[in-house]
Amino acid sequence: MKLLFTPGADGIGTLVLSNPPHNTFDQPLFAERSLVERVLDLPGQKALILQGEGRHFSHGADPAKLREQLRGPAFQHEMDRGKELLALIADSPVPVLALVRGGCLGAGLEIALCCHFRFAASSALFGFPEVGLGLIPGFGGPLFLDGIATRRAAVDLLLSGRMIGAAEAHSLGIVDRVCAAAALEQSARGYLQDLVGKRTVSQVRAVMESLRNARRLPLAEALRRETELFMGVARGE
Amino acid sequence: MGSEGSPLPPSPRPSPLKGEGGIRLVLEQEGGIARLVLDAPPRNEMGQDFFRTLAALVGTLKDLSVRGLVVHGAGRHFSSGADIDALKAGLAGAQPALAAHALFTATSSLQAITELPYPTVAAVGGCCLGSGLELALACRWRVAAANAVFALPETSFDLMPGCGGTVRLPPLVGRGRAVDLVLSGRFVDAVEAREIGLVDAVVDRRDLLAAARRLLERVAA
Repeated sequence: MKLLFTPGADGIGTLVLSNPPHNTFDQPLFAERSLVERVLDLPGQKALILQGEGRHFSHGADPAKLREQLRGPAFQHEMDRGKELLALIADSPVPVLALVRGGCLGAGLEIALCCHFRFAASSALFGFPEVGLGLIPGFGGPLFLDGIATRRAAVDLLLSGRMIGAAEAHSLGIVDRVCAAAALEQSARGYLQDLVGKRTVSQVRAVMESLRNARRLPLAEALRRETELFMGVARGE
Repeated sequence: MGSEGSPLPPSPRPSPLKGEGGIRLVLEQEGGIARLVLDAPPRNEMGQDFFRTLAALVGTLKDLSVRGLVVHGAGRHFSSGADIDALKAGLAGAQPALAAHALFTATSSLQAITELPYPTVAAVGGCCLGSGLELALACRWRVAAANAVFALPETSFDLMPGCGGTVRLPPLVGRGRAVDLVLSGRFVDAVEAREIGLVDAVVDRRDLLAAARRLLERVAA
């Protein structure tokens, strides 16, 4: 899948998943890793909007193409490399907001779930259709849902495979804000501008690193590192 | 307010236990519960004295033989947090290493509260901001009065939370909400705090301490 990146004058870049019409992908490593790394780590950037080209966010992996690879010896490894891309986004040095229009399904939903925020058009659709194909979500969906939706909602969505609209996704906590499609982009950009507009790049990065350390490091180490980050911000580094 | 309790027995050295540095430790005879009172009304600001006193108190707290600890503010508010001007002056001073040391000592004191061998609950009324919220987060539970407001406003002052806020917040409220709260510095009322998992219960203001005691009795039973 192609990635199209546009930097923003306000420090808020836009990354577009591009394989219209449904922005599906053929292999687990759905984009070039070095490109994702560079976009997330772009100097001067304070936040990123992730969206799909055209009418849909992404319908995830193409099941037929995926099945062809299942028997290959390298498939497990390929899946791991794909998941690493999601981990890069989850651990991004700047907040990432998934801007969702149309279908956000399967691995596409898993990509949205690894972002920090999800804003959706009222016509957006969410779901994990994998079970209907005799599979299960394989990109960390169950893990990312934990801490976002209740366990009951997670089990329901993962096992039923049913599709839900933006309003229900919002009530389950999967989506942070729902608005009319025409107002979506401005709503997302406005929110991010309020969030990071008055913050320096080093503040944003220090806060994101410390919040990430909360998950990645032992508590004592995360606390020590927070002090260091605080001192760096206080000195204007 | 229930039983007012008695202060700890006097110690030979000038003791922080009597309320210097804006902290008072009260042992309630009834129920075997201790209270750590942030006692510099009206805002119960946490200055350098406060954190020095807290560091000195940590050993005493560890050795208490109680069923639980309630941390609360004297009067209407929990705490407005650190004195930002003094903090910034310290950071801009000649010896930033001292400021870093003081900050890490404060963080360590809060971690010592997290590691106390008995249940701890913050009873939060009014303002609970910055390091005040970080102290509340260091407790195992948080009970809020309906008038409570919470925020980590440090980023609005060109800083960031420095006493464990960024580390303790994500497991409670989730990854995205933690990013939102810390970077925006926005205020959250008691109802939203309950919704997002920042507090465990919301009660009437007049019932705050009693509710905190009940919670301790329930979890200790």
